[in-house]
Amino acid sequence: MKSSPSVQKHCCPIRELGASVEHNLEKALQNADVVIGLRLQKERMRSALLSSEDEYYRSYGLTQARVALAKPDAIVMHPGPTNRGVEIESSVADGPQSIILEQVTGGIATRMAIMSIAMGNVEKSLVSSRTS
Amino acid sequence: MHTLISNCRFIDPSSDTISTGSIGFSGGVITSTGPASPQQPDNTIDAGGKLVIPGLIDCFARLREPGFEKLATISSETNAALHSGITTLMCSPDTDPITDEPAIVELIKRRALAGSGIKVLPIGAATMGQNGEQLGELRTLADSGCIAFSNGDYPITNTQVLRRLMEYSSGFGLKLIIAPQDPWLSDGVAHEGTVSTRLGLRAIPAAAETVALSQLIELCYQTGASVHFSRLSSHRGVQLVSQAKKDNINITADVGIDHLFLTEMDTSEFDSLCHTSPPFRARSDLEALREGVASGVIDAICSNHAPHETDSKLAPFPESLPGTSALDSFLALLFKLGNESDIALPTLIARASAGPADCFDLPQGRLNTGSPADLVIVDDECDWDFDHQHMRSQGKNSPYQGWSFQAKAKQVFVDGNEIALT
Repeated sequence: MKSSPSVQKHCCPIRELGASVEHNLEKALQNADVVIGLRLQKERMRSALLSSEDEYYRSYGLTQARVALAKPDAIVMHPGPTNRGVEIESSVADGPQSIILEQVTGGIATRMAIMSIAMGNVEKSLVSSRTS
Repeated sequence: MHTLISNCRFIDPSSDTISTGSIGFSGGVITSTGPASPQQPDNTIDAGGKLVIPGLIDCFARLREPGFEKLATISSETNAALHSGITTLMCSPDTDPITDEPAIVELIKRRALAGSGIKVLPIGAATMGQNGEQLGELRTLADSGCIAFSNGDYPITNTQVLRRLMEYSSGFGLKLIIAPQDPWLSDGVAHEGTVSTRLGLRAIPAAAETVALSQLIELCYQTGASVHFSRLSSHRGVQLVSQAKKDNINITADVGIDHLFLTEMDTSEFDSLCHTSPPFRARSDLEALREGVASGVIDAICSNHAPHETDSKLAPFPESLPGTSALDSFLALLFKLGNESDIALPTLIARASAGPADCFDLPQGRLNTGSPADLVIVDDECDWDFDHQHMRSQGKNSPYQGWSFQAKAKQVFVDGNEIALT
């Protein structure tokens, strides 16, 4: 609670990368343009990262009340698949501010492109674009 | 109603002096301290020159309820605390069931309300079932009323779990209480020194504490967690805490009151009443702990109360259960230390009131205007001898049988309400 700035700085590599870190979700959401959640990897809960799903949802679950703290036109993102009732409330995932389905659709196209390029199709496409 | 305790001496923990005058309170909070009351009281209590101190705060005691009511109950132990001028008590989570869910916190609070009337603040389990593996529901427990989080007498051996616990608690600004004890080096029953060597007792070196402390301090440094080191016992342990504080690491510390009086010599007759965890160590350790209390390196003095049934202490020393029933003697020992050591009485009172209040962000434990009117009128000139038969704690395992004391609580107020001493 009263740790010195030097100690805080030393112990948080994410801050050193230039990001600001906020453990209080309500504070972090104030005036946000974009709110992006991530899937809680339940299998990792065994390695003492979290106490329980229930407490996680109450502390960090993206609920309608919390989204209301962000800007009125803020968008809600999530790469999917979602754990509804764990990191995100259903009404938020399906709500008007959510662009989750568009994001996931875009994610599929991006993955397809990456796989295609990785399999050597990039040269073919470059050649065909030159010849045409 | 405005009440005035007049004609008293009083100790304000924020100053190192004993003042004379009166203390006024109204609506459960202190309204004035000083030579004279600024307003006409509705009720005046003439203290007859006796000493008024803030209600004491015990930051680590075991109440045994729920689950071990044959050893002690919340009612019996808080009554013992009340008679020692303790108006706030933080209780360990090692009950059965363990304090790892809100229902248990609720139960403790209800039993405390029906008990002696002092403030009981449950300490929540840092890991589920104190298993040392799965993080406890710290935020949920904090919302239920837990003041801090601890694994009680069970060390968390997995350093990854410790680190996660520190990261998780610091994210919510919650405080951990950890007794620094390396589980492997602590596999003994007495301090590793001349007495354990002579008696052939399985020994616990001071390194059991310092190895664990070093590890924990480094993790505090890495995570920025706020940790209270509980029940220090060694000279070197005090040095490590002192250095960590100089390095601006976010820690506080306490010592069990027995460790300011008893040493390994007290175990020399195989007296199982002096079998404790951590063990009573050498005279040099005791002196260092006292210096730590005087300087403030040690922020708080706790009771480390561990009531046991008589049979648990009748076994041979190594088989007896560790711990002392410490609430009945707490106030008397503080005053005895004030009389017999170089530490000024106001400093000692501060370490058992404002000190723990600062560690755990509590408003009580002070005589400031606006602070809760938790007050104790102490008769510090009465001579009495400690007798097991007169203990109020259900656990009679006190090592002070026959000791002479001079101080007793005469009247106790919690939030301005006087609680009868029965």
